[in-house]
Amino acid sequence: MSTAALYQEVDVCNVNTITQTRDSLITELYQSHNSWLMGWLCKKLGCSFDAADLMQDTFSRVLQKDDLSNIKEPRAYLTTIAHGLMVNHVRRRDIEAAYLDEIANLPQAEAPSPETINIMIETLTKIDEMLDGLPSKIRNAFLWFQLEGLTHAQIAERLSVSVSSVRQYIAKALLHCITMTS
Amino acid sequence: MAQLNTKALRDATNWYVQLTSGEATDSDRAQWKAWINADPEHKFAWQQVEEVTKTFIGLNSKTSIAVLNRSYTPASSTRRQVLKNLSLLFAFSSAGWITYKEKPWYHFMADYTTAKGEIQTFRLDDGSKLVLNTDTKVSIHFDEQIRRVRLLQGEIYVETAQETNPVYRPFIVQTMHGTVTALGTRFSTRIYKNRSCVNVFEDAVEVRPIDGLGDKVVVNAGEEVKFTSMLFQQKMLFDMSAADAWTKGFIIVDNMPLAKVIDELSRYRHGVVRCDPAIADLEISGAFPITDVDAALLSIAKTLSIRIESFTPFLVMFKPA
Repeated sequence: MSTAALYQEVDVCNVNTITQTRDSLITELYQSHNSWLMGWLCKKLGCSFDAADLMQDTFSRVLQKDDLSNIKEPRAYLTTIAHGLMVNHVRRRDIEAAYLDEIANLPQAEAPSPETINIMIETLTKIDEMLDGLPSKIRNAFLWFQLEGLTHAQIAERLSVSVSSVRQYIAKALLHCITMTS
Repeated sequence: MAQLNTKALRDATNWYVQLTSGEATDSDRAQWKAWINADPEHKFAWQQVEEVTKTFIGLNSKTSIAVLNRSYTPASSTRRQVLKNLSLLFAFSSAGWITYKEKPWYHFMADYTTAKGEIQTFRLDDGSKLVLNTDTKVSIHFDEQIRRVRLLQGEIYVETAQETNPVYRPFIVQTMHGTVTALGTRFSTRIYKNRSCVNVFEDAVEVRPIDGLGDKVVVNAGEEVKFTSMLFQQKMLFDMSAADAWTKGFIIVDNMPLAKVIDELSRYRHGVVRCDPAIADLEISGAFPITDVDAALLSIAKTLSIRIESFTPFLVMFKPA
C-alpha cells in the first residue's frame, strides 16, 4: 500500500470517529436535557404549542453547529440558543399584532389577502431584525429614505442635521443591516 | 459563509448613497461600474447591498412605518439594553422592575405565564391559590418579610392562605399602577391599558397607587375599584357571580353592549375581532365558554341575527345583517 493511500485510510477513520462522537453528543444532549428545556420554555412561554415548537427549533439549531465537543455547560448552551429563538418569536408575534391592528380598519376592498398578510409579516419582521440595535436617528433616516422616498435634504430637515450626516446615517444603516443578515 | 470584506462593504454602501442621492452623474455611474468590475469582492459587497435594499421594495410606507415603530420610542435605548441584560435577569429573576415598561420582554421576567386562551391554577409556596387568566404574566417574590406577586400583564385571581410563617408576612399584589395588600381574602386584579382594577370577593384589600403619596383605600367584599399610578376612582359594586366566572372557563354578561362583549372574548383568542359601529351597542346577556371563543362568536351572531365576515382567521368582522 502506498503512503498516500495509507494517509487516505487514516483520514476516513478520523472522519468516522468524529461523526460518531458528534451523533452521540447530540443524542446525549437531547436525552439528558430535553425535558428540562421543555420545562424551562414552558415557564417562560406558558405550556403552549410555541414552547414545543421552540424546543424542536433549538435542537435543530444544535444539529447545524459544526463543533459540539466544546460545550461545557449544556444547559447554558441550550438556553442561549432557545433564548435567541424566543426573542425572534416574540418579535414576530409583536409585529404580527401591530400589522393586523394597522390593517383592521381598512375597507374590505382594500384588505390584503392572507398570502399578502403572511408575506408582509415576514418582511417586516426581517426588517425589524436587521435594524435592531441602530440608534433612532439612523434608523429613522434609513426607514424614511427606503419607505417614504424622502430626499437626503428632506431627512436632514426632519432630523435637524446636515445632509452629509444623513448620507453617513444611510451608509451606516446599510452596513449594519448587511452585518445583521450575514 | 464568506468572510465579509469590510473595506469593500463600506465602499459599496457609500456608492449606494451616492447613486441614490438624486445627484449622481454619468461619470459617477461609470466609476461605480469600474469599481464593481475591478474585484470580485466588490461585486460580492454590492450584492449584499442589493440584498438588503430589495427587502424594502413594494412596501406600503405608512403601514410599514407604523408597524416598525410600534414600540420604538426614540428616548428608549432601554429596549436594546433589556436585550443585553436578559441573561442577567435569568440569573437573578427577582432583579426586578427596571424592564417593566418594555412590554415585549415581560415574558422573560415572568415565573408563570399563560398563552392566549389559557387559564391555569397554581399553588404558591405559602399555600395560596393563584389563577392566571388568558395572556397573563406574573413573577413571584417571597422572602422573610413579604409575599409579593408582581402582575406584569393580564389578570389574576388570588385566594390567600393562612400565613404559617412564625412572622406574619403581608401578601401583596403589585402592578405598574400600585399595590393591593390582602387582608386575608379572595380577590382578583387586572391590568388595563392605563389603569389596574381590583375586585374583592371576600374580606377586604387595601389599595395604594404607586405615586399616590401614601393615599390608600380599603376595598370590601362586593366592591370594585380602579386605580391609576396616581389616584383611585370611586368604589363601585359589582356582580360577584359573574366576575370570577373566568376561573371556571366562562364569561357571564348581563345586558352588555356587543362591542364590549367582543373585546372581552377577544382576550382569549389570537387575532383581531372588529364590530361595525352600527351594531356596536346591541345588548347581549348570557354565558359564553372562553375555551371555544369561535363558537361563542357564532352563537352571538346567530342570536342577534348579524353577519360574520372573516378574511382570515386573524381578522373577524361583525356586520349588520
